Amino acid sequence: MPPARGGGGRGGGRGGRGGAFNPARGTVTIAGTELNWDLTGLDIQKGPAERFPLCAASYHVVPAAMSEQQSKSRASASLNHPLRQQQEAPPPQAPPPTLDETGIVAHYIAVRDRIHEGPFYTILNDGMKNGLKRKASEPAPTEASLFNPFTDNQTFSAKYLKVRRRLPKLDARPYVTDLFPAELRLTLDGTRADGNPSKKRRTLGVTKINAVSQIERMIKAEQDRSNEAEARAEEEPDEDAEEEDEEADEDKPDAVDEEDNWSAVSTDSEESDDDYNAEQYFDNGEDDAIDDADPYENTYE
Amino acid sequence: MSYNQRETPILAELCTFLVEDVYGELAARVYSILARHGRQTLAAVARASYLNGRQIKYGLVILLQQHLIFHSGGEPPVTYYEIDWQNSYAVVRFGKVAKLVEDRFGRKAANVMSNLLTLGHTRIADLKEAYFPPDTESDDDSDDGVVNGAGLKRKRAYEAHVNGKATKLNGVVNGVPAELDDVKPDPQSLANGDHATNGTSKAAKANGTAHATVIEEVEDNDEIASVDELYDIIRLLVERGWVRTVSDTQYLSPGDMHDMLQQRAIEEELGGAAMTGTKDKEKVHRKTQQLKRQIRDEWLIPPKFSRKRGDDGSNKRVKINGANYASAHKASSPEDELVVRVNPEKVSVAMRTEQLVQLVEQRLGPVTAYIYQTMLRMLEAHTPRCYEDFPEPPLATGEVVAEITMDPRFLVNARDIAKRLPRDFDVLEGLDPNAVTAVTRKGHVHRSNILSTAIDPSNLSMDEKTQLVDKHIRLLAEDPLHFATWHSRAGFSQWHIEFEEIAKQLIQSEVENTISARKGSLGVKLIRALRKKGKLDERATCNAMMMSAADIRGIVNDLTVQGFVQTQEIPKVERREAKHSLHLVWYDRQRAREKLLHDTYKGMVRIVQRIAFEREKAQPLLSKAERSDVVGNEAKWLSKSELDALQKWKEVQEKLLLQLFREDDLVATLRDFHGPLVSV
Repeated sequence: MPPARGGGGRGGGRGGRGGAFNPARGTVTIAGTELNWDLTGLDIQKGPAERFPLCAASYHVVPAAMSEQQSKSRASASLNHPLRQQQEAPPPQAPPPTLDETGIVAHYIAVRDRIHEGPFYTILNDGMKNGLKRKASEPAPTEASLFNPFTDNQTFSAKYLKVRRRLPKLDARPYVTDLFPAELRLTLDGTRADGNPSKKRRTLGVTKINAVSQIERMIKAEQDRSNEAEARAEEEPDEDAEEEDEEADEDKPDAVDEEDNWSAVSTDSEESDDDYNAEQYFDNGEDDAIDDADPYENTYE
Repeated sequence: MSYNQRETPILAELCTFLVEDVYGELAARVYSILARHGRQTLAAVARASYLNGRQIKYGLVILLQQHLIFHSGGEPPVTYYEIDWQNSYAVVRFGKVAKLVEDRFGRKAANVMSNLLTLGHTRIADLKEAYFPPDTESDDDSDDGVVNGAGLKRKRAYEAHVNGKATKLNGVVNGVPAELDDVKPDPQSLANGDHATNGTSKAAKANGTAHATVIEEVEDNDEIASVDELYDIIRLLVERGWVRTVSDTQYLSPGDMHDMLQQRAIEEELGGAAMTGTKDKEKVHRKTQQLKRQIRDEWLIPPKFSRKRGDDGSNKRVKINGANYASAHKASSPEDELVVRVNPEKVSVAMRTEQLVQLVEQRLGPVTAYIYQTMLRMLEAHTPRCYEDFPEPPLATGEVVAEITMDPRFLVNARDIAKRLPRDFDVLEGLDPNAVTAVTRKGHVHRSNILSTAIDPSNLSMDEKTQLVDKHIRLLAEDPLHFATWHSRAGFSQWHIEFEEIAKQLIQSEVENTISARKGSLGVKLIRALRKKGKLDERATCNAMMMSAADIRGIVNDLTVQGFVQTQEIPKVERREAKHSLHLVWYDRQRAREKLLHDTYKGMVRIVQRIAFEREKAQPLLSKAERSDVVGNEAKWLSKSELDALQKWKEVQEKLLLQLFREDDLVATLRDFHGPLVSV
């Protein structure tokens, strides 16, 4: 080993500066530490020593705080770095969101939800992964292969299902036609398949208030419900339900006129409010006075 | 090899997923073809796809409207389409754009901004009409042009708006009015009517050229009340470069643009003659770059907004008493025909500000960080982009282009910052007490670093405040990252910020962070040694790192496999023999940066896929929650366990999105803050 050789041959003999050989006691002083002459069994680390071995974060090139912020993507891996501690360390967890980040996520979800509710959002559900032509060896997905026997069976409540477009509704909003290439301008006019241009008024869908996402609304509703239930247990549930029904009616999508573009679910029946509609003769029981015990008795879940 | 056999480039995959996540399947299918096959005509897209012609056309319209693809213009007989990957990637920044605008200009501006994000580009007139629908539309026609939800909201907003106006006309001036649940009228605007908003924007415009006020409107009222307000917000955003006007040249892909401008350059420089020789080539190149810069800068010139409009509208409104839509609609203004959209370049500038401020906050504390934020936001108004895309090529003869004098708009001094700080802001915090006493000349410092006399920060004179701010800036300048750089003594010391240098260091530290996470400190040590010494063979590496070869080899191997360290083999004899060749190792920042960027993209792809998977799991529940009988009656038709599951899905989604946006921060650092680095 290098220290042993150095101590005997060169450094120790002179005894001048640091590595001194003390013949009296038979020891050698290396870096201020007095050691036995025989160094076998002494384990010397070959790698560079930690400068601040006690502090976990000192490993970093930049101060820990900086790296914590920047390497968020790999955050926790770099937080408690030293290998010794890694065994006991808890599994990596991303740091919780800051206030700003919560805002960013909320804004993103709001914008995305609005685009999803807008006229351009489509779901094809044709079993394809991308737009490329399928290979000759792969047969086109059939109706039967796309059918999921567990969820796709039409039940009564399917008439309430939200309809999703398969083709965007281009005539819903105005365009700056000059910016589009000539071959697409006809499409912009919203000419239907039958060749009649639509005469609908076009407006942009904007929101003036910063929207709350739908899920949050539901969860809030649930909290309200549980709060209310606690507050007034004996009040009759009928009034409340009716009011809510009216609100829900206003919410309905205007899907009547474009059946060919929509998925199979028909929304005709809910649109009209007349008494002569046979389908509405039997309702699903939502207006009945439900037993207070379990409001979910009559519903599918 | 055909296209079908090769793996899709990761960025194309990421962009396709993002487009699908936001704009739906049809758009994404069409996009995926263009991403896969590159520049295509409509017919070629149809050939490569299983979709029918109508679907493809509709898809292209969506993509064009949202600026996700380029097209080659209307004149030539065939139009080529090509993806705009930068804009497609920018989809992931929607949330950030809205948030950054909210921080700077208030919630109303954020609302306008998020509407613009939703709509792609739009005429201002159309936007106005959407915000304030004209009277011809019957009031209860709530679902016109909107699928569901949004229409209802608009109607509610409409009513609330009328209410707000009514209170205004009744002259409520007694302090804070009763809070309605939808609208909270702003006391100031109630008192002054439209002149309040006009006034602020006038002021902003007056000193807008010199220095921007940092935060214009912080109001708790987040609903836009009048057409004028909308116009003022749009004008403010346009002037600050957040929103830009759209012209058809913006639809040209970089390649088309280059061809067009190079042609023009040849005509101007060589009189239309063919390029011969390197000298001509260089001349044309220089001219082309200049033309590119010119055309890009022209896009950003804010158009003139008329001033008169505001007065007309308000007068009429008073007369008509509440039903103000007709008047607002009639008063058309010249800017109505302008087409606007969000400017994606500005976003990265603001993201840079945010990242630097966060960094300073961690290194130097919140007060200094606030001052730095003020400083950066002042500069932001004049910074359209982080780096020059089309730099002037260096002269072939080797002479340096004459040093351009620093534009005074990029200089900041302490006094300007001190003026902008809020009154109750404690500038004393975060400074050395000795420095504080040196400025205030009150009391002295105890041995335990405590001031002997308390100083009230709100009583400081402007001079003292300025000096204290200057102390903070000095802290910034003395940091190893040199957040600020001293420029000249004019006034009270002018400072500028060398973004380029800081960006380079940020990139480097990101690379080092990654390596330290993967390989530990020895990996970082290797990178640093190589960076300092250049290309080394094994023996030299051992010497430089003071380690034995056996210890180094493993690290070098791993880092080479990961792409952070480059290797090269130079034979010393004719035969290519391992023993008789030099094996060099070196570190190339640009390559390491690209590799890390690539890895980050891959991570983002995985996150987006994961979100899709989690959504699939929750899909039955989600479609139930969206049923028209359930919407609004969630409490009635959804059970507790279903609501819990919804809550869980929401949490999962938020967590994944959060991670996605953090990776996007990393992408911004690596890609957007600095142009391509010259390989060393």
